[in-house]
Amino acid sequence: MGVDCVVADGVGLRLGQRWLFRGVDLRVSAGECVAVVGPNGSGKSTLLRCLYGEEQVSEGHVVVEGGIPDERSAEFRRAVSVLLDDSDTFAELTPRQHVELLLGSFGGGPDGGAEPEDLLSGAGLDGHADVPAGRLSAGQRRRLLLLGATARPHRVLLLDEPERALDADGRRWLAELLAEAKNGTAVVMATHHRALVRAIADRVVTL
Amino acid sequence: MRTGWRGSDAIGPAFAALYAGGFAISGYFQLTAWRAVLIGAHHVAPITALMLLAAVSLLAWVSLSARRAVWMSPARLAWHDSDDHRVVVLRRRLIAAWGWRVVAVSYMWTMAAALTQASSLVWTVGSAGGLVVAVIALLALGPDRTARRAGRAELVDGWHRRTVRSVAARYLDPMLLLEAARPVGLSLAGASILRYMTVEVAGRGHALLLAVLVLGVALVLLQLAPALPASLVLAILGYLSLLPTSSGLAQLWHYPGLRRWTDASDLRLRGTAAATLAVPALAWCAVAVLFGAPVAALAVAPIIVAALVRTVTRPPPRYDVPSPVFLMIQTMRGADLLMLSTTVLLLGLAPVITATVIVALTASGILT
Repeated sequence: MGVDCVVADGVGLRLGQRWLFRGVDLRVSAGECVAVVGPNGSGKSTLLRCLYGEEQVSEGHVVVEGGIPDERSAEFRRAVSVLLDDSDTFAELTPRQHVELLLGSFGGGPDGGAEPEDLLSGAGLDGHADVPAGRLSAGQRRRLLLLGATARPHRVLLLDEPERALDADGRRWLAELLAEAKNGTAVVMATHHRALVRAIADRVVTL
Repeated sequence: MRTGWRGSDAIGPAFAALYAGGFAISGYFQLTAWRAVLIGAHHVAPITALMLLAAVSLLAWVSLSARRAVWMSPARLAWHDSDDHRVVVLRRRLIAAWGWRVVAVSYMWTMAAALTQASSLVWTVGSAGGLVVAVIALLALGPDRTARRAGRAELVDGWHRRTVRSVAARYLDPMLLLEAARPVGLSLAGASILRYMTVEVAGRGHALLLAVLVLGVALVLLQLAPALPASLVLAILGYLSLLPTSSGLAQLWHYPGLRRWTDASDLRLRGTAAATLAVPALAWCAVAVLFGAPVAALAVAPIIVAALVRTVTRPPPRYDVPSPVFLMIQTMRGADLLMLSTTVLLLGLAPVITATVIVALTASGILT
């Protein structure tokens, strides 16, 4: 077992008079994937935001990559890649331009040396590589966002319902993508997709 | 009791319209005072009034072609869209949009002609020409044709844009007014941030076209009102017309979901944006100098760039502040630097001191 990249000990978050979740323990090391499951409104997305430092927990403590998560820190953002509710695409840029911007800024993916063409082809976006993102379907935009989260170097990957808007082919591609992304990376994903949990997750946390 | 939805909502705008109208009309009765402020001891050829008429007419025409009056709320389309109701409402709105522009252009023309003490020939030529342009604009707009052709998608899209504009005005947040760029097929490989900023500026070609038209108005205004400091006129109009070109930085700054596509530091983003914005700003000022503005107007370019960067890198608006003064301070971020720097230019200090202060203000605007 390697060093834990993501640690949550007795974490709870209170909204007004009630607890959204309480007593959540989480330990994820490189190469592991933990799935967070639960009904709508149980706090899955909020837990991911706490792990990313966008929201503060009410009790317990969270450590990500050896420190308190803080998405305002460029160093933290470089280590932790996310696909959250507010992740978005530039309507005027094409998928190719998105990937070029990503790779030009962060460098290649965890394996390094990734080419935009290969990444777009792998995501099934090669036929739409030069179409502005604003004209893509919701599923195609989701594939592009998933590329944005996985094609850059990172040590921790936080994904909020990555399967959303994907068709059957897209979900199969997602499972392959995450299986690959797991190599050397600590992955935490909130999901409703049971098949993905069975295929990828090493452990499941239920809220 | 029927108080109506207009109630208290309409009092503020009605009062503002009354005040603005009164102020505008009072200008006709204080021509000597206005002449002293705008023209001073200079001589201005009356034909300049005709040039202003042409420039603002063109600007009005372009703004009319944006079809901002073509909108309808989805609720109205769902519940109250029988017979020709949609056409009637749109036609009335398009004619009103045209009418307001005719009133505004007429006001500027008559004031300019009166200030320059235009001869009856100039009055006749200008008024007749303006009337012809107004009629042609109305025919080109074709309120009935446009109203009948407008489809649901365009109406709903127009309504969304209008909602954003009204929210921006109500909450004093001009950032909401920055519209999306059009696609530009430039590769972002390599120096991706610089290329991204370039694509975002180039993708706003429609804004650049508007900036050229505003430059035309600025040049005529400098001829018409030689007593006004050229740097002040160019700084204000340049800043306003080039603001849309800074949207590339604005969207990275305000939307964390977009910022995730790059790991560039704040400083690098600001610096790269400034370098990119310097191109249109310098071109804008250089053309102004080429057409008669003083060479010192080139010093306005870095001021405009710094003000643009400072404006779009403001923190998100907060409405829980204890006083409206704080809200105003948030709103004026960017414009404050513009006014301060222009004031320094106007003070007439020693060139070395002026240059040092302007460089310091520009650097602080870009870096902080």
